[in-house]
Amino acid sequence: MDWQNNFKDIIKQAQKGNEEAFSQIIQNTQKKFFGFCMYLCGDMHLAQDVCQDVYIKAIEHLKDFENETKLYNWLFKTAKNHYIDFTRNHQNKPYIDLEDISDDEGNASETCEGKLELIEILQKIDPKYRIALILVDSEGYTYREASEIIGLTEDALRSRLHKARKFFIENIKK
Amino acid sequence: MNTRLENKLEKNVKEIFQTNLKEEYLNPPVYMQTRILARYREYFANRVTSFWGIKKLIVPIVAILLVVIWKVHFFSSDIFLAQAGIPMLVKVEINQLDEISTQIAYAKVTLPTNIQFYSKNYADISNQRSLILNWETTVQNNALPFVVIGKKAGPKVIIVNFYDKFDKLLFSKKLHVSFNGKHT
Repeated sequence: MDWQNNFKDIIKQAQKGNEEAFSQIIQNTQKKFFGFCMYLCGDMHLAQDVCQDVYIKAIEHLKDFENETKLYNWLFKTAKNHYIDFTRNHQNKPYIDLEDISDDEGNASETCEGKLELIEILQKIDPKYRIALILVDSEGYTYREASEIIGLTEDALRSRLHKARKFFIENIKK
Repeated sequence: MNTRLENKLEKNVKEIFQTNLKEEYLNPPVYMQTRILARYREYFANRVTSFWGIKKLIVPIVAILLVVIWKVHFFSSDIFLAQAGIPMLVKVEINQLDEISTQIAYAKVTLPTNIQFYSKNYADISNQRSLILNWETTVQNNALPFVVIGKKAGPKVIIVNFYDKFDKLLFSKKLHVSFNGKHT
């Protein structure tokens, strides 16, 4: 079945236990979703676990996915919650605090020792800033869409993004 | 916030994400899908889809065995007769559940001793004392069907409970069945 044109049918079939239909859902979404989880988690094994757990959870929520956008929104939001739950129990190293970075021009006050790779930088910053960066700058969501997924006002999201981007630009290895 | 500067910052960060895109980030391992699908199968095996087997069972049961079909009227307290040792298709009529039917997520059928669930395709089901039936996918023609087989003669009570999606009990029904001696 063609994914785009038959999305609703595929979802309906998957709700009824049609394995092929659910397999189609995974095949058509896993690349984007796994990429998101990789940036979020910074570790392949953790990304796999989060990805897997969220897809399994999605089985019980298939009826909520009216279109592909809602499906992705749910996947990303659930993965974010999953990851945050995980870090509550397992986080050892503290994140770099971006709260004090001002909204004005000028450099970020927080810097890392030496420049870092993309994944490394993302792992340094608090997940609430990280996910904003990933959704808007990696996945291409609008501010409005990203704020709905995260559960923030658009202004709050913009402020977070600004601080995260400043820190990001100054510390990325080019 | 200076909008021009913010736009430049946004553009730079987006470019970095694009140029740093690594293929391995986008390709999950093949076994991940295999594991997910295994859990998907397990999920439905424990819920309703085994009971689509009932549709396929009906013709062979009628053809090969003597099947007694009883329509159980929902609010009736009558005792119904059945033959021990023969699969019995029970259809719980749900017309009178109209007021709450939109809230029902699933039904749970609980059997007493000496009655078992019956499925030609999923023999293991006979070991379960209770079964969860998904409301949306199990109800057929305004009735909730399942197949049981009595192992011994005597009166028995089958309990059917109806729950919403928050596992709250909405309604409970007792089905009184009296099994005659084993068919020879």
